[in-house]
Amino acid sequence: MSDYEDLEKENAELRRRVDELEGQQLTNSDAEEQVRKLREQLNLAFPVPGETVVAQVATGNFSSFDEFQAKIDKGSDSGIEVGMPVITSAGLIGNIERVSADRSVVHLITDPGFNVGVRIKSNALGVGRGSGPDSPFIVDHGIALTAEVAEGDPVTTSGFERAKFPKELLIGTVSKITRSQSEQIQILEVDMAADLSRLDYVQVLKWTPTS
Amino acid sequence: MNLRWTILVVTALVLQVAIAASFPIGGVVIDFMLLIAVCAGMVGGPQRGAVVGFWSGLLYDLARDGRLGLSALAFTLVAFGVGSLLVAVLSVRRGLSMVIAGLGMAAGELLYAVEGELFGEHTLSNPRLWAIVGINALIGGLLSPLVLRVCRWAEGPGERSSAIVGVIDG
Repeated sequence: MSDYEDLEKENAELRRRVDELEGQQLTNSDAEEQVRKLREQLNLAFPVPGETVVAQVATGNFSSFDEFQAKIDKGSDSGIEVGMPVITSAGLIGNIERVSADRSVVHLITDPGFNVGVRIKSNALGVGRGSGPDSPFIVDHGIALTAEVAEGDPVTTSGFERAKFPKELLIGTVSKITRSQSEQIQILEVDMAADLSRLDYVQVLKWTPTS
Repeated sequence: MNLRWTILVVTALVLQVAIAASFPIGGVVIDFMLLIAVCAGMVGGPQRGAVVGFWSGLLYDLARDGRLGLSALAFTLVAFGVGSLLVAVLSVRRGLSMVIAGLGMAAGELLYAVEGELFGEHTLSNPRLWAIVGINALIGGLLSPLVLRVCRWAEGPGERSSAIVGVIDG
């Protein structure tokens, strides 16, 4: 009888230990995933001028009116200011719209009202805008019919004087070219480099339009 | 706002954050908080609607990290308006109450969009504005009999405006 009780106790203890180890394993794998994502942010696919602040996307969007915004867990206490560009390791995602001490709101590049001066590989200059979530970025101003543009060309910010972004921040690559004879321009669809549907960690570039 | 209304508004917030945001319909997140405000106006009249609309909007603004007061103002005005309309009409059938709830939802979304635009939120220029308004109006109207029932519980029989009873029981 006593052996049986001992075995039961031992069994219960082993079960508890297994549960504990499983929990620990889950915690460790979660931490590993966080570290991997942070490391990813350090391997930028393009040059950036100056210092960046790594932040985590804080909350989901609880209303459809918020679909062109992302909230991040860093604010003015970390030196973030309105207008600063926000990027991931893959490319530009938007700029800072509002700041409080420990949080900020990012205005996403997918908003059709978000205009960005762009430069194509061949040095053609134009103006692009978002076209909604899960839709390509559209460059529909400034690319003349004579400009040399090919599918696959990288599209970056132009960084002209008084532009809201510094130059050479990667936006994406040209995926479709439509020639508009009536407007005498080329309209480009651009596959965005950053995946805005799965934002986790982002970087705020400490650069303001006046700097 | 009594304890029952408080429970209802907080429950709606949890539903909004945990369920509505995770399961958009046609790509649109249904605004339960607005639906509660509209139904509060329908059940309790303009004053009840205004109070519940204000608190549900304020909590919604806080949860969204949005511009504080935008939803609170829109929900207050719409719930007050719907409550005033029903006091004037005195009695409506259930089918019509669904239409009124749907129209209230549409008015609330549009009012929020106008306010948002005034504060630089790009809400009126949202390419899916009419989808947001339309789907919220449709789903809000369809859900309104259930929400009105819950609101009637929150209001309690003693406090219900006699002018509004016709909406629920008619």
